[in-house]
Amino acid sequence: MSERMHEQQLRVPAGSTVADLSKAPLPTESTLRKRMSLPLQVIRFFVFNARIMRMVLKGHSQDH
Amino acid sequence: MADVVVLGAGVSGHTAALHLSRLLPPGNTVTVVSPNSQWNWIPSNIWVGVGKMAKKQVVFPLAPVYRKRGIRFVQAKATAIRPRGDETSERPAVDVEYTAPDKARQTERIRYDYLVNATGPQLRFHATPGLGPDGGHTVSVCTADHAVEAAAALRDTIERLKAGQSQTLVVGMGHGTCTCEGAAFEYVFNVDHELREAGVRDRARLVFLTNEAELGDFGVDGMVFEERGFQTTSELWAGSLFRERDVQAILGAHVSRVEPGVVHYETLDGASHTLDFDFAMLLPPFGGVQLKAFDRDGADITEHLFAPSGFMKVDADYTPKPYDEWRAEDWPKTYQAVGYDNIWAVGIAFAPPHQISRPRKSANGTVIAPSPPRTGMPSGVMGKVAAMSIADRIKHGTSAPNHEASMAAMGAACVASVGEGLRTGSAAAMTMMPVVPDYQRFPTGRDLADTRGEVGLAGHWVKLMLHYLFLYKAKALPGWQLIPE
Ligand SMILES: Cc1cc2nc3c(=O)[nH]c(=O)nc-3n(C[C@H](O)[C@H](O)[C@H](O)COP(=O)(O)OP(=O)(O)OC[C@H]3O[C@@H](n4cnc5c(N)ncnc54)[C@H](O)[C@@H]3O)c2cc1C
Repeated sequence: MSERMHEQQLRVPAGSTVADLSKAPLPTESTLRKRMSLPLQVIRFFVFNARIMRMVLKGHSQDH
Repeated sequence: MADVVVLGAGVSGHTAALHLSRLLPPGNTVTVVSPNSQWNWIPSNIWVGVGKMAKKQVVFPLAPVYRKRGIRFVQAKATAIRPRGDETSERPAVDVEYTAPDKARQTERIRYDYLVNATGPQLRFHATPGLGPDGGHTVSVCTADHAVEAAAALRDTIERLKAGQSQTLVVGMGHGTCTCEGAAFEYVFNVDHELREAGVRDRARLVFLTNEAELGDFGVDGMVFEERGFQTTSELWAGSLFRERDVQAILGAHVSRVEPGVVHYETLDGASHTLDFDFAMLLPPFGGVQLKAFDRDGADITEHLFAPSGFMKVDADYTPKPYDEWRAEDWPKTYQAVGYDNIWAVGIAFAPPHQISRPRKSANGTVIAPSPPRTGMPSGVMGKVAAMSIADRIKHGTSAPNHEASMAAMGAACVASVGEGLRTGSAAAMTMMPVVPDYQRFPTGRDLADTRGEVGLAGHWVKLMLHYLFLYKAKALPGWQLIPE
């Protein structure tokens, strides 16, 4: 058991209705680094905006 | 020549008014009725609510913008609609009560040829005893002023943490039928970020209390994403973030009462629980603004125009049906009011045909299911579509076809900031296409190419860009109409 999980379980009071998230995937160090990497995130910024624009073009005018 | 009246100057009403001012030939008039003198970019209230932005950065006065666009601004709240006029005239009218300090409480009957109801939500804190900042025991981020109060309460909590006390912070939904889960999701991770920055995260217990039966539902029945050759869900994706940031989640909860420092809630299994807190930001359920409707002879016809929730009935299929029979076609396309071809209801003001998330009740029969969200992007598009339909009717006659924008064919982006700072910020950015899943068209309900979730610094930049872009657009600065809704 990781230290972080152990801490979380310590802080959940007995009988609590807190959801068990111990099966949720934890990001690896490399994923966390990629999420903050400047060159990679610049690319993601443009990809995300391109996707929004595609949705705008597809969905915003539905006239026949 | 026609007079167009827009009720509400939020995302949808303001968008409709600006486009009308652009599309209508001279001689026609546009009047906006709204109780607040300022426009508020509500999504950025989240940053105000953690003290990272000042109120003045998310609001601006409407009057100069309307003056520039030739729009009449009436600072008042609408109280009643008279769609067939009154005893003195057949021309339809709305009754308004002024809120501007110099005219407070004065009333006026404004005649219209076309009406757009964009009055947004009524914040129903009263649905849960003890909820909300006005006389209750919790804070909110629904308005800029609420967010300022929330930031002060959070600051006090951080001071207590710094003094070595342990604190429990609860963020989430204040009733089983709330909507806007994305906003609470965003706020909880911003609070997490603040606590980490202040170096006190280890003494804080942070709890997300939600009416969603599963994390990542967001009131849209969750999403399926395609990632690295696998289909995965927004539940796993959101769960990962909660686990990574050590935010505890209580799911399927209906808050029944709040006392000082204690939330009482019921879960889907019917059991009652309490949760002690030192700081709580709980959103209220939304209803429609309570407008009345009267016929020419003064008869009350409110229930013809409005659903019991207070939202206006439009061209949706309101036949009650089980979840399995919900279809994309149930959702409105034109937002024209039932029975009146010169009234539109857009944004949060229209009555949805049903929820989007699976309906659920607790073992005691309490409804615990998110109401359907109507986020910024669809609300803006509906406002524009109503403006285009009205402009066509004025220019080409009343047989001009309506423009359409169904939420079952329209996408939405939800960028939930999970931390602030140009180099240190982050956001959980989601796009979904369409908002209302269409299982007849897509096996997973949505187009996998456009339905995505990612976490990272880029999302924070997108959120910041949207903040500046939409404020620019709302101020009607040069080229505003080129910025999509
Ligand atoms: C905290 C928070 C964060 C959010 N974050 C996001 C986000 O990141 N992205 C996103 O897409 N959406 C977000 N939303 C949702 C978004 O704010 C709404 O979708 C949008 O504001 C809806 O637009 P609207 O025009 O229907 O309502 P509103 O913007 O609320 O506007 C309603 C208008 O009607 C006026 N009004 C009220 N009563 C009357 C009356 N009687 N007569 C006349 N006028 C009246 C109000 O003063 C207001 O001007 C968030 C919402 C909240 C609360």
